[in-house]
Amino acid sequence: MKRLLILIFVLGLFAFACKKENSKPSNDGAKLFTFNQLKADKDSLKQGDVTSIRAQITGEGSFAWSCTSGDIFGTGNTVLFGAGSCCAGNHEIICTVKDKNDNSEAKSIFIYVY
Amino acid sequence: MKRILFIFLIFNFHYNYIFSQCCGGHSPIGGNTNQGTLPKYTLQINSFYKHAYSAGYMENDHNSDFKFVENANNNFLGLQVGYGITKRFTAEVEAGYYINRTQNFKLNDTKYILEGKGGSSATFTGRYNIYKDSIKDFEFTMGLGVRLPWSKIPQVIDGVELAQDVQPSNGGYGLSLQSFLFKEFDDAEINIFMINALIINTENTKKYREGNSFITGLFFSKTFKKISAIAQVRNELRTYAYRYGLRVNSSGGYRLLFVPQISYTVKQKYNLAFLYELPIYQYYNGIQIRDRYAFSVNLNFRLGLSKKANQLCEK
Repeated sequence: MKRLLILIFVLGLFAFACKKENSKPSNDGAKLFTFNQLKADKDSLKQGDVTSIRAQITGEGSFAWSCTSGDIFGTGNTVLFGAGSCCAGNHEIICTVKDKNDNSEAKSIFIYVY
Repeated sequence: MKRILFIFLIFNFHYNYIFSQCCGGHSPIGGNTNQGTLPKYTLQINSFYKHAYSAGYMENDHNSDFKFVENANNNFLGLQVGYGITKRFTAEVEAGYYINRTQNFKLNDTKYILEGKGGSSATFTGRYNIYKDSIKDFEFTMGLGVRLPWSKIPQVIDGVELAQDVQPSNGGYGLSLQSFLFKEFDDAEINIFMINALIINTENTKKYREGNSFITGLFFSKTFKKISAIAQVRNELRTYAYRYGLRVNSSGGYRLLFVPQISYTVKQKYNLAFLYELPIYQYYNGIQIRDRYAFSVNLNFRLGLSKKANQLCEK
């Protein structure tokens, strides 16, 4: 019985373990980029189609992408956005640029999928 | 004796994901389990591997020429630990891990792969034997389970957040209500076993809520010494999913599956099972990727944690 309680406790620890939040360093460095523009080739798409989206910056930074629904293909400053049968509607695509001084800026666009 | 052996067989029944989502691979599972209660002070460990493959699209119950995802597959590992706390009450915890959850695309003549991997969810279940008649070989058990997502934060690969259909964890909580009905027919040496489950899903941080599921599995088994053949017919009904409170028209549907299973038991302690899931009939709301097949391998081990329980196991 004792062994079982220990086992349950250990499994419980795994199940409820929380991820440590990354502490954000203080933002004391100069911003190393200017986020000029976020632009898509098409602002509306048929389900099953894709469009190219480009983030234009001046300077140096890394790119992170997310969307409210749909699929993003590729990495870097230019990606493809597409949506399958699941995803009719208006979707926000967000690009966040971050530099090595931990400065970041995000822009978003909306693409309508029909 | 035969009865004990039968009860020990693994009745593969998948709670958590079962149905594919609108555009993504045939998803596994929360667990494969004997849905009855365990003998008092008995520990049961069940591990399993599942592979599933989906390709092509279906609109309602017929093929569709819609093209987006070429095919999807996933490989899943699960672990379930159950313990008979009392003669009538069994507690279980199960956890799952996606080795991969992959979608392959061909877009503008270029191949793309979206792939997620990682922990899926953990489910805590309590099961209580409401009625048991040893003379008539009949029993009825009910269970209640709570599913916790492994992560509520969507997985990001190379700076790109993965789509819902390849996320290893759906990010939402779940509640399952289960019932288990067992009847043994001594004369015909046939056992019948029925499982019902209702699975309710909550919204995740992306404001997406998977549809609720209603599942019925009917099992027939025949035991030949250490080998058992089990035939399962499973009915799965899934309601529409919702995103930002709006119905996702291409989600949910209905599936009827035939699942043959072969089990091999050693010393009433170890059980190895192989099963194959074959869809007989599928009806998808809207247009969705088609589940083709899935197979699983299960390894099950039972241990009595007291002398009495050990004797029971070894009987």
